[in-house]
Amino acid sequence: MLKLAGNQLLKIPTLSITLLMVIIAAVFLGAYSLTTTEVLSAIINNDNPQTSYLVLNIRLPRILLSAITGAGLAISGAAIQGLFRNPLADQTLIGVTSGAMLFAVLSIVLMGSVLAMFTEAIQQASVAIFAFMGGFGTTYLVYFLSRKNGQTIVMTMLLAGIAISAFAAAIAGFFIYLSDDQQLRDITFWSLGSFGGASWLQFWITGPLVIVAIMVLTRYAKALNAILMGEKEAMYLGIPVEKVKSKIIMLTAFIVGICIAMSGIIGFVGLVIPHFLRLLKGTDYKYLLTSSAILGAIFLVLADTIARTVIAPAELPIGIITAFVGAPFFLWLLVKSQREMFLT
Amino acid sequence: MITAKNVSVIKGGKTILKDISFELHSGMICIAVGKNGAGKTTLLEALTKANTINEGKLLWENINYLEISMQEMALKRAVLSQSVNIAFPIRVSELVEMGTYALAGPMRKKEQAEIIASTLEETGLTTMASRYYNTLSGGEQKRALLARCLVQLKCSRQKGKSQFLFLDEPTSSLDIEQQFKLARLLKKLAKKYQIGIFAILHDINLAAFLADEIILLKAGRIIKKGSPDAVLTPKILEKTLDISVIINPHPVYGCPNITMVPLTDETPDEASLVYQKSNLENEKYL
Repeated sequence: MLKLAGNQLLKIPTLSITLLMVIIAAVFLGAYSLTTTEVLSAIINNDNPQTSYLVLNIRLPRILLSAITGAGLAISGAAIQGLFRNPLADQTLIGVTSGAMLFAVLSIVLMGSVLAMFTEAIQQASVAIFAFMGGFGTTYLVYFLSRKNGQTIVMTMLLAGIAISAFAAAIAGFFIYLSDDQQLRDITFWSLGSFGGASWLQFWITGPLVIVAIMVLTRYAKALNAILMGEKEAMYLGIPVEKVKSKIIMLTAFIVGICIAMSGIIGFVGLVIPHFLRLLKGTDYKYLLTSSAILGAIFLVLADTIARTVIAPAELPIGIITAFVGAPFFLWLLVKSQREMFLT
Repeated sequence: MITAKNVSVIKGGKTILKDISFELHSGMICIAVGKNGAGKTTLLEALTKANTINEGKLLWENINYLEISMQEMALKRAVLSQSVNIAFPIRVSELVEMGTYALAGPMRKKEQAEIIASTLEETGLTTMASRYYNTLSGGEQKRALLARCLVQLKCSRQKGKSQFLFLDEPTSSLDIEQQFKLARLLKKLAKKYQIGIFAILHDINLAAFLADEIILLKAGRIIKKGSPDAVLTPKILEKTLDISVIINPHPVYGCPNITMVPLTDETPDEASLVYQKSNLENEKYL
């Protein structure tokens, strides 16, 4: 059964169609479930401004934003795992998550009083900008520390990433300790991830950037394949390894930085989606990068739909759903496929 | 032609290679022989541009290595490493296809697929093409890596430009039949396609059979280089490899045929007498 799923359902055209269907289905689902006729007549005839506002200005940007975030996180995870030649790697490893967390906390706690006079949108934007700068900057620091004689030493980068993440977490912890109840609630909600604040403005600012970065990243598929055999072998095959490494690290930090800035920390997607595809289809990056992006998008749209419907009209942080649904499923797949495939 | 001029490599304060000078020619097979730690792999990595050198010069057709990019280098040479660990499971066909990453010019997918298929056939891997690399035996893995090298050379071939194949202990973990097949293949690549070959071997008899030139390395220096007849003598081998040998002409090919004689304290006197007598009879190798 796994083989059939691997061969048919996970082809890129099939995945793309599935994504489209999931996005359409998600429009109808929510705190207020809508029927097809309600949605169509609201959009086409514009006879029900409330419904058309709900669909066009609240649900659609939110769904598209979650799709882009899922794609960005999953493809980054796939690229980082390949670059580090390590199955445990994901974006947390290069410091982007902890850096974003630290700066988001700083924005919420320190800037809270300054920003209190502004609207909620500006407060949110401040957290997002801080988080992006923190995430991207921290990765750059990790990268900078692990460079020697024009080469990046991957092992040093791994360890530097862990050390700097711990350091950032300590500072963040200190400021969380200082925070008041409302700030603490904001921080907790942010750190579990949510698309609750999604708007068209957010989508248009981040969407094109992330999509372009994803498209650029897919061009490194061959390089990532070659690096699977080690950096020396990749050089023998004509891959300019140092250039490729720095570009992939910066691209993933950029993508993940934006995704986290928009939605908070959503774990699990970057780690699990690429592994899921690898277990069923193998490691060829020419397939893996694109399919990870599409499946990541499907996964996050579904997770977000669950997040906003399961305890409607309230909603759950999406990070809870991704781990709660994803982890058991992944474990099941892992145990089952170990018998069918040779895993090392 | 590759020219090494007074090349030295220093790693972590230790001199690994000292004052190495020699030439590699198209269509010729050059074999490096030496004890563990003699600097053979470091030399191979310097010649393939995987390592930088600290002193001296490396030239490819009179162009300094420093001016040749990694992409250009991949058109000129392929490298078979001693062993390769792959981070995630990939199929043999995917591995071999990586040889097409370095292309001299536009090449149709169909043409690439034909080269891959014929190379898989050549290396006896056709039936294993869809298997995962990490499920293969050591020798089969080596053949898969060799197939990747061959695809790389075939896909990046340019008229009038020389190509080299570097092999680091290619016969380790190959069975006897595969060792023979590899030896024949290397001869064919050199003769028919004028590919220059530089290989590290521990099997001195195979080296004697294959080589146009042998380089004997000890502690980072070239002790002796030249044709097998000139280099493989009991004295020189004792000096560089710390072994005692009897050398006779090969019954079929005429190249030196080396028999090792463990002349330790435990060796019966009889053996040492045979050794001396045998070397006296073949004076040309003394």
